[in-house]
Amino acid sequence: MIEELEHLKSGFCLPQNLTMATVGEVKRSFLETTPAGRARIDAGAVEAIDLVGMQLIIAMLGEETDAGAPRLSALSAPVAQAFQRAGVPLPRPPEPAAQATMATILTVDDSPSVRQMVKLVLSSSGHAVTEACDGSDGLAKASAQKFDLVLTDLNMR
Amino acid sequence: MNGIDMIRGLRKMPAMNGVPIVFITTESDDAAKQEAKAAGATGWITKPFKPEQLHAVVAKLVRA
Repeated sequence: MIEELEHLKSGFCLPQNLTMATVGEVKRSFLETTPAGRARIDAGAVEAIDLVGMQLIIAMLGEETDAGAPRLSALSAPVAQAFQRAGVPLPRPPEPAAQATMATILTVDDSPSVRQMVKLVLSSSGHAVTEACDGSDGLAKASAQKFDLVLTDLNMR
Repeated sequence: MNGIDMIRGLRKMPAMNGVPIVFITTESDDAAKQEAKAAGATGWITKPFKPEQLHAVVAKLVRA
């Protein structure tokens, strides 16, 4: 039976104040007040602006280790300043998700930034996330490996 | 290949029997949801979504 899943509450400990609205506020401040942000605006590249948003998420969640799993760390100075200028509270560092069920998850999306976000969020809880760039790639990956869950975009090129 | 066709393909795989498939989409009209449901999707998340919603999906669907 199909369900609307978007209103579920989570027992996990990612920053509760990390919402898309928060990211939007911070992104605006970041773009307006940092040299890197101004360069993005000057370049006029909307896609690059979206990438800045994703970089903020990555910065908030931590750096990637050699193993590919995010390692939690402090916010970089430009990101922290962007939070302050936007008047948005700094996100709490995520706490260890001790009760997380380890799962192998396939994320299928033609947008690398969406796949990256899904991977960062879920791998921060210890899940193993495999990426596929479209439906054909998704079928190939699912043929090669057993997954516990598939997260997929619908409209892909 | 789009997501609907992939879901149909996944559901033909014995290894995917019982594995939840959740689609993430900006599509808000019921037609797309019904089509994905008919293809074998378990549920959906509407963009933009929060990180905790991803965790909630995993907690609900994988732990069972």
